[in-house]
Amino acid sequence: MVRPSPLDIYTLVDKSNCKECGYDTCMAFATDLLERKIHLEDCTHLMKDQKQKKNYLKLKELITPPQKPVQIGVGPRKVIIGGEEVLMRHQLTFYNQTGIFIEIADTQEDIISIIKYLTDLKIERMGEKLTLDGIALRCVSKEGEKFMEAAKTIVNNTDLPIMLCCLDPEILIKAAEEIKDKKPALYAATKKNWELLGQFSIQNNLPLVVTSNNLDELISLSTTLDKLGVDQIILDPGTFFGQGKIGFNYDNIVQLRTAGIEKNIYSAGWPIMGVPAAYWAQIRKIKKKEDLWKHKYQEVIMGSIMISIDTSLIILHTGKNKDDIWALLALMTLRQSIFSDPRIYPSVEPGLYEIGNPDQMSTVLVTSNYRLTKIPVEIDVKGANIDSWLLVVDSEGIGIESAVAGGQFSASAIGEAVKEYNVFEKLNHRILIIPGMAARLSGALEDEADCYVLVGPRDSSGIKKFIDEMWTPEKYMKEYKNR
Amino acid sequence: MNEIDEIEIENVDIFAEYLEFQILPTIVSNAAQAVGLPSAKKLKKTEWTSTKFNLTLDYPGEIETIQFMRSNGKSSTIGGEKAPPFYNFLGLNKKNPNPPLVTYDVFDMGDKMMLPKPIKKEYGDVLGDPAEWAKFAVKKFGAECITFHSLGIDPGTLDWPISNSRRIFEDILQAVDVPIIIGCSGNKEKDVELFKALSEVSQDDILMLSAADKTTWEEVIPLAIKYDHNCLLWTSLDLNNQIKMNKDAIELGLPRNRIVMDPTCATLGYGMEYSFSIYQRMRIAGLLGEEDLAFPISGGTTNAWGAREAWMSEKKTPDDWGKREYRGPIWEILNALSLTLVGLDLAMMFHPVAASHIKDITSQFFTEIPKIIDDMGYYNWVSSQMKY
Ligand code: SF4
Repeated sequence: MVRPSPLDIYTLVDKSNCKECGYDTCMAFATDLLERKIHLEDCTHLMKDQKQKKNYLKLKELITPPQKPVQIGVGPRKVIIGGEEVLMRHQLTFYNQTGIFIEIADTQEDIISIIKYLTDLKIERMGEKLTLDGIALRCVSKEGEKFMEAAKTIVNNTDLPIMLCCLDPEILIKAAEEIKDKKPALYAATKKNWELLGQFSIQNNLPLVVTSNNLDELISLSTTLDKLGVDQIILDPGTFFGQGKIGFNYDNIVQLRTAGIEKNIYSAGWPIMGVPAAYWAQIRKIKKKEDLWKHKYQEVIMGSIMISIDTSLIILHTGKNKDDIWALLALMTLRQSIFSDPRIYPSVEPGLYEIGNPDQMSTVLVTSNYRLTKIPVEIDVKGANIDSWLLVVDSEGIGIESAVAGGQFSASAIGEAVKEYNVFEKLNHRILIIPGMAARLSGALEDEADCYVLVGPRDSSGIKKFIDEMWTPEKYMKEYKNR
Repeated sequence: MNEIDEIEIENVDIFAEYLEFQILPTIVSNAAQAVGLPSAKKLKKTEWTSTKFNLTLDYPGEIETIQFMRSNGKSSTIGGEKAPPFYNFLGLNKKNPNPPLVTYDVFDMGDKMMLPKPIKKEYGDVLGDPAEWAKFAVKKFGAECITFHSLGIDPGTLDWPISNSRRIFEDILQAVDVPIIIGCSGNKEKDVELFKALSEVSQDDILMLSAADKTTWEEVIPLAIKYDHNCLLWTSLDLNNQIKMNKDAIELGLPRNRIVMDPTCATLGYGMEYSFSIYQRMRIAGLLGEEDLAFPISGGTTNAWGAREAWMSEKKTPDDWGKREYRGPIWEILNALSLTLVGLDLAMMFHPVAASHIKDITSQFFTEIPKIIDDMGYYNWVSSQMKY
């Protein structure tokens, strides 16, 4: 897809600069529209003025990404999946991260406490809160009543989006009818039942998963439902385990994405989902309980492959129990990484930063100007309630370990930063604390910056303990003066 | 083909949303009539439309094939790709010939380093004896390649003489018959000396010097040329620097089939995405015909263990992160696996569980991939008990 420019958009908006959308100019509106920070419908002129309807339609077409976005759920935790403009993150950015849904069976005991756990689950990393995106309710009971009750229990206990999963379309529709105002996704339309589910999806404005383990059939389904009028489709090519089947899943997802996003094939231009949880329905008996983790690894690995290739939504089994939090930590960290905006530079501004209210006798912690070093150091020091100076040295945006080896984080680079930011003029001491990974620089740095160097911990999680036990500036200054 | 239908349907969408937003049904239906459409949400009838899925992609380039060879032992090959990893759907003639190679780290000062507990547990006593360590990795874990890192020569650590590394290296050459990668310490002067000594004693083999960087390349690359070894060209997360170093190496006379690139492997959770995108850009560029980037990629995925999420014991983690026993290896697996999907050919790994998983999973992309799976067992996931 050729990405429109803000100017392409500007040409089609009103140009009155009326400010009703909250922007000072129509051009500012156009720029943010392209970045998906606002909706086209926020331009009041475009919406109210009948004469502009044509432009509205043109704009809508212009900004609809080749992989169309689909919304599941309503309210603050609604999730938007798909909607990607590019195949590879460096070509622009990915806009919508892989939605992670956890499966729950309708026969699940203690269902409310699990729902609560999944709803509240939150992992804090790098200043962001990582959370789950939804629940996939599975019809294990095969009873309409039971499935519907479980669906109601979920909506009564969480605002997480739901995917209703049942291969019997009547049971599925019955439950969906009950909770349709929560905009659940329906799983799934097949060659057999597409018409019934398609019409239900249209009438109730609900997203519909189409599934087939054969790409021709999957695309036929998508084409057919599109003709019928379904405008919220999710593609499920199936998730298989066993020899050669990882490659099969991978091929299918890659092909669908490429066709939809790069080749503009309309019927492939929808969000794509995978079900790593299907592992547990495809394995035979697990003999040794000690080996359970190996099986969990298989599921997590499939999930990680899917996240790495920008699959729009995955359903997991591992992660439902508190003990499996390691799996979610790993997958959500991977997701955070792949879906971070590549347009943000790895480097931050070098300088002398204040954490808390440092004074003349506070510590000076030295670190690199790699974003993902500076942020955790800052979080750790703040979290420990320590008042400190943070000297961020220009290491060309490279992390400490690499930059020490590569020479970007060197005694002279630190020495220059000390001078440039007048570090010792703000202090009553001449002590620098360098990261443990840069220990080998300490001798050279003492000469370079005329100071006393303390080698700190290798990981900033150890800073609190280090300062509590080691920070005796008077003693170090005595040593410094005696040298 | 169905173009007109598609536009029609899009318009129906648009009016439907318009309607919800403005609640002005007359405008909508008027507009709908104006373009000759049925009014929104009125159900239509449609026939099943059979469609063929078709996708053709063209990658004219090819990545260099790099060999490692022990004169009296085993060889390994990486590179030679004609398609992005692991695009089996492009057909057998485009199938990548070589799965990623996993090389196991061995350190000269293993018993004097801070190592994560889960790693110590796996290797135990051999950590104090690099040759035994290498043997253990080959015998017990099936390592196909070993990286020997001489960290102790750095004046900032133990300032061991080069002769010490040379002795250990010769022991390792004796102990195992798989290719060995010669790793260095980070101290420029000592590293050049190290490469000189070790590449000389192994001149009958084709190994790899790891690595030439922006300060040592002028001295290290000639050694690789002289003793006929592969040379890893290491840069710091900068595509242009990598291109430049590749060009410089070729200019100095390093043959194309002796070049491996390392644009730095960042840690999962601490910037892996930078490596991910640089690898991907390099690989796609190489496959599209950019010769200066058509080389295999190596990465120190061992770096995964730098993440506290991987090494920190459950007693100390700030939040509940689960058992380190599971967290550690999966961290290294995800770090490496994700990168193999964008071009990593040589993974320098540490934990044997992680290494064996990477080997196992990536090799699954190299078996025969079924065109169609008839097995409908997949759909059992909806109704299965999933009792584990
Ligand atoms: S509401 Fe529309 S016309 Fe008014 S300033 Fe915003 S974009 Fe321009």
